[in-house]
Amino acid sequence: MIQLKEIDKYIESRFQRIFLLKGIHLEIKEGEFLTLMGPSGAGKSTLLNILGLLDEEYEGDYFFGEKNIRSMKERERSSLHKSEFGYIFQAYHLIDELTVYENIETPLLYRKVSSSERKSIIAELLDRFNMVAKKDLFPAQLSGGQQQLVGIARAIAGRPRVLLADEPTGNLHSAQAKEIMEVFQELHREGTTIIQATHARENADYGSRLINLLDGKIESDEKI
Amino acid sequence: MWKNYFKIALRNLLKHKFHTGINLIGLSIALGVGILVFFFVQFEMSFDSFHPESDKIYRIQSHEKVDGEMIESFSSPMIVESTFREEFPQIEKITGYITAGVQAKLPDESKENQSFSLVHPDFLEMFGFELIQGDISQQLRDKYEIVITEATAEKYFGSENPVGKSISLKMGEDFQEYQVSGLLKDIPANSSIQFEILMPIANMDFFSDPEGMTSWYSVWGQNIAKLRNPEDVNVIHERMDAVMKSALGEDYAPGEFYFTFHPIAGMHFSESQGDGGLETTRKSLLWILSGIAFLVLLIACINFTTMAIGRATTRAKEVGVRKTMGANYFQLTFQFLTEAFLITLVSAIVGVILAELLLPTFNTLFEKQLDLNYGLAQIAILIGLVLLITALAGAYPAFYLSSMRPIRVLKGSLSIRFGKQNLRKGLVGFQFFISFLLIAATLIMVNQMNTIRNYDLGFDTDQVLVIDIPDVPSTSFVTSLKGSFQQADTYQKALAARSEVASAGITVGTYGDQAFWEVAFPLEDGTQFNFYVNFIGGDYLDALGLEIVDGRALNPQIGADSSAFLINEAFAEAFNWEDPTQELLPNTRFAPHQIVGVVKDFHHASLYQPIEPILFAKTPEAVFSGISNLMIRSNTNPRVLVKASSSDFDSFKAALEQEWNRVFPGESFEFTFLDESVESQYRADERLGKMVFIASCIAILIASMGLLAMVALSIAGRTKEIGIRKVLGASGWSISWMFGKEYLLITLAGLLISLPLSMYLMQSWIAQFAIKAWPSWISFTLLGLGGIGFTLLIVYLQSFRATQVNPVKTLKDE
Repeated sequence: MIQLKEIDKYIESRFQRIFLLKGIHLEIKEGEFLTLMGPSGAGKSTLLNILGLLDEEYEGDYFFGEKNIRSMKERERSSLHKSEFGYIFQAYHLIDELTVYENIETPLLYRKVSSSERKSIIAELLDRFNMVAKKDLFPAQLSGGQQQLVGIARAIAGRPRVLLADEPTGNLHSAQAKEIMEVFQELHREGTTIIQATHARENADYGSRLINLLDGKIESDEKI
Repeated sequence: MWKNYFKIALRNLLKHKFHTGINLIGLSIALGVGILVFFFVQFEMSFDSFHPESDKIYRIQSHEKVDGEMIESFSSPMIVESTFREEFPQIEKITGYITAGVQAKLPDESKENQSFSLVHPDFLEMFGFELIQGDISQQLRDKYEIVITEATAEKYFGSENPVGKSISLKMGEDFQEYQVSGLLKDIPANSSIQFEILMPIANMDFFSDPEGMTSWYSVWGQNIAKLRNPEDVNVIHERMDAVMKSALGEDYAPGEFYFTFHPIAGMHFSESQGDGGLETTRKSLLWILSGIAFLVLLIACINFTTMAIGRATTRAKEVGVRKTMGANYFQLTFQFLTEAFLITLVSAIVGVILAELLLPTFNTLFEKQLDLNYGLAQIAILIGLVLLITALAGAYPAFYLSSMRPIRVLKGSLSIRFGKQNLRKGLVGFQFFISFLLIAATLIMVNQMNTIRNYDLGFDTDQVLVIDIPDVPSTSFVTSLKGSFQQADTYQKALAARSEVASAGITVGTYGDQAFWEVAFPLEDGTQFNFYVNFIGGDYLDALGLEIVDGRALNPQIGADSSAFLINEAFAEAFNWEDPTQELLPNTRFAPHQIVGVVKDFHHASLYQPIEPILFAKTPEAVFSGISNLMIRSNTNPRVLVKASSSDFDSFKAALEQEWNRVFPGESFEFTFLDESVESQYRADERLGKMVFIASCIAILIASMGLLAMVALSIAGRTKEIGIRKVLGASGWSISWMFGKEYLLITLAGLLISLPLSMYLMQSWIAQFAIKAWPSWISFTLLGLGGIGFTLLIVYLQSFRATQVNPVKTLKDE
């Protein structure tokens, strides 16, 4: 489903090129649960951003299905971004001024989903994550774990095929982290492709494939 | 989607109450001012446009060469009406328009001055004045039938139907009965042509001999024509020469006497000398007002912009999240614009209320009766204004925020720099610049007006009353003048005998705009010597405290003094006379006369004018014998000037009134204070000064609120830096100074540009005064220091709080 060929990403400094990613070859099949691991600065987030179409400044080719992202028009890329990807952040990044309900609703609004359909999708998600009673609360009124659940609900509300998670449990304590990873596992079972970046080895055990990155290169790639 | 936009906009605005409050206050005030100015400008622009086919109505201006000088005036001879009606088929209707005033008997038999306008029968059919009773085709045809307005009807007949009733007016020697044949709706406030009674022009025979009405050289009032086609005005101007040639016969000389047609649309903004008495508005006032409203709005908009950019760090995260969730640039731009729109809309509503509250003050200041009537067009323009301000204030932050890259703002800590420092500083500097510009202008105006008000005019105005003497109607000018002078003399003598009166004098010219008569005679070299003349009597010099520097005053006891003159120093200087009392006026046409004394120079006119040569005489004959040109801009009645002997005003006034009723039984006693008349000459500029003062107060208020918010934001964005500096041992003062320094520079820049510019801009305003007074450099320095001090105070108050916070707190959460 996703194919990266010879991906280089570097920043020019005054005297030299510093490579953040170098010569990344990667193929990801639909339905995989992939974990990117590695120390700080290894290039996990950089790779994730490129995969999620958030970063377009790199060299090499990126195929999504049959299509080369580089040769796409801005409009196509943006609609691909909208329809295929969901994002989960370490710091949750919920919109503080919106309630739980409205946060989940936002991506649906940008996808121009009809009002009645929105209602049923959100109701289903709230139900699934046991947050029905909290739907009118604001993010600041929730615990970290709950905020991340909202983050996940929001990410999957638009029914993306690929879920990208950058350190999804980084700000959570272990019990909450476990809950989140179980949710991921369940989504994986339902067929969603998940790519997560993490520091924690135990999180990788929930997935189906583990890639170790070091200094911008793929160090190891193993099935679990 | 819309609901979502509004919801988040509203919550955002409510969450940041401080910023929202500052934006709301600033924009509301600015919009309130803007709305008032808009209605004012609209009202002024609407003048005289309510007449149907107003584009076809033209006023006739005369151009006449007198002593080598072209004199232009909207007063024209009455023969214009009949001549032009015949000669120009392009003219559909034409009427004379002469304003006069006589005594009228009120229902309670008391007498009052009643003004009226003498017109031809075409008048009502030419204009859009609404006749509510009477047949329009039958009005103004019978000499003793008049048309009155509702307000006039109310005065004479209360609520009774006025048509068919009579009003008694003193025409000439006797009272005449005039029957009301038509009733007009009250004249709209936006009409330049204002009157209470219309009277057929046939009544001019009470004021003028028949020659006066048929002479090309005798002027009584205006002529107004309605053309069949507005373009015909060119045809008329082309044919004018031929028409004047046949009309004037042997008096004709090409280009020396002709008439031009001017649309009434421009009448309200006329700055023509020949439009004295017409209530006009300087068009520049509208520009100044609009300019000020625009600047104030701009300052408020800049507040919004700088604050929105300043808060970019907090909004950046939201932008990033929304973008990753699929929002595109336009959707985000729209969302931020919605916020700007919402706050502008609320401000507009508050502004409408503010405008309503400020209206009475505004009307007092400008002496207008402005109403705020919101019709469809006004509401549409208001909505347009709201959208414009939304764009002006919200566009840049919306584009700026929407174009942020999500990857930068979402990854870990927010590392973007406190947004767009230089742009924001530039904008704040611009606000300073505008504020200082207005303050400096205020300083210059206040200083000038104070100088004018306290200027030694060379005569006393305190405790001097001016009483108009009733005129003695006559078809001869000199007879009328001498007759009323006689009456003034009787009254003056009666007053001089009273102990309440210190001194009493008679004067024809009084203090107002160019109130002395302008005269001229030719010198030997053929040039004209222009000077002013005033006819005086009684203790004129004493009543005004004028000094004689050479010779003596005119003495009523000496019969020969009827041909004696007094001159002022400027007159003597004009001819370099060493001993003026030995000289004669250098033109042989003057009847035998003698200059008996020289009066110390004083400002007989307003301080807009320099001191010019003046001649004082007791009687007109000797003066009129030699002059070649006479221009009278005030009425010709003499006035009595009375100075009180004590500060007991009530008994003083009672004495004046008592003598009045003895000398002029049945006439109403009216007086003015000399000092007030003198001051009223500067009313327009006093008003302008007040206006600029208010504008600069508003500008400062809004700009300093913006500064406050801006400083607060920049400090909030640097709490961590403050914490680090404190840990490293910086004192609170040094941190405050760190912020102060940045704003000091902006303030200085604003000051350095605005001060010279304001002086440059005010130059033309100050140039109109004969007495000019620039504020001293000390005032400007103090102004600058005040501005800097104020800025630093705001910065210090804001930063002080931040420096008091324990650095442990600010450095911990990351």
